[in-house]
Amino acid sequence: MSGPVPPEQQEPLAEALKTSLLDVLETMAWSAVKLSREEQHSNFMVRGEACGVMRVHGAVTGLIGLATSQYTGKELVSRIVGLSTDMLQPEDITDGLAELANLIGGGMKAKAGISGIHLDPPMAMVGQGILAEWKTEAMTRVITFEVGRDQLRLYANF
Amino acid sequence: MRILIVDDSSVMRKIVTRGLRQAGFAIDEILEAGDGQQGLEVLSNQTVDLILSDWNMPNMDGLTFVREARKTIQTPIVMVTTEGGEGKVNEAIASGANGHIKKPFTPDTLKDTLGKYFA
Repeated sequence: MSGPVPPEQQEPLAEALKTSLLDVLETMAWSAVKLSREEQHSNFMVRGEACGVMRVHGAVTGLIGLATSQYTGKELVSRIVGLSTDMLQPEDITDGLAELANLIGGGMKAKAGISGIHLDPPMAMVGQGILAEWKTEAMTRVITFEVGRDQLRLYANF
Repeated sequence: MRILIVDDSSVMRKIVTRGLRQAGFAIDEILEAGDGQQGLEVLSNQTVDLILSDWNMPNMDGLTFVREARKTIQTPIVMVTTEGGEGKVNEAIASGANGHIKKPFTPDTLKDTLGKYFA
């Protein structure tokens, strides 16, 4: 099976993705994360300073993204690798964000209970005022979490 | 103990290294490789006691690395990966891997899964 995700699978997938993000951040980054709000958007537009995106294919076709500020992106990577932020090189931040996307996507795969989901290698972007759009036919769920005093957005496009 | 970590992500190699140290294992040296091919190159001129390998990597993936490594060495190889499905784990074991750790992991997970190799 491939193509758009049937409506009855969208909610379990989004739940699996949310739970996975909470697991990853709490287990590996020791970050207290709180769900703030959820919105539906008609496009997949990632907005932030530190972003990770990965394509999902196979049994489910879509995109997963995460975006936050450079400060929080750096802070999260610093915590998962156990190095202070000033010891991190720019490539550590992009690699770390890509790994975060990978971990969250992998967790979603395991928790969703749908066989045949494949994840492409993730990509990451760091910079000022990034706005990246992928044309898709599906709606995007944008789930905002509070991380400390900052926000982290999770994008689920299935 | 000398450990080889094979992962294309330098951040993930740091995460594994940190986890091993937090788990309290006595480690003499940690060697790193960025893919399976580099892992085999390390093994061709160094001896290690334990190998931790990612699954999805460029040039040579983890499964091919395990199969190739098993032609010459019997060092324990544990896969550290997001590929947690039963089929994948069985495939890795059938190829010669000794175990599997699913990401994300905690130092306790590393302790439970890898403790026997440090005994």
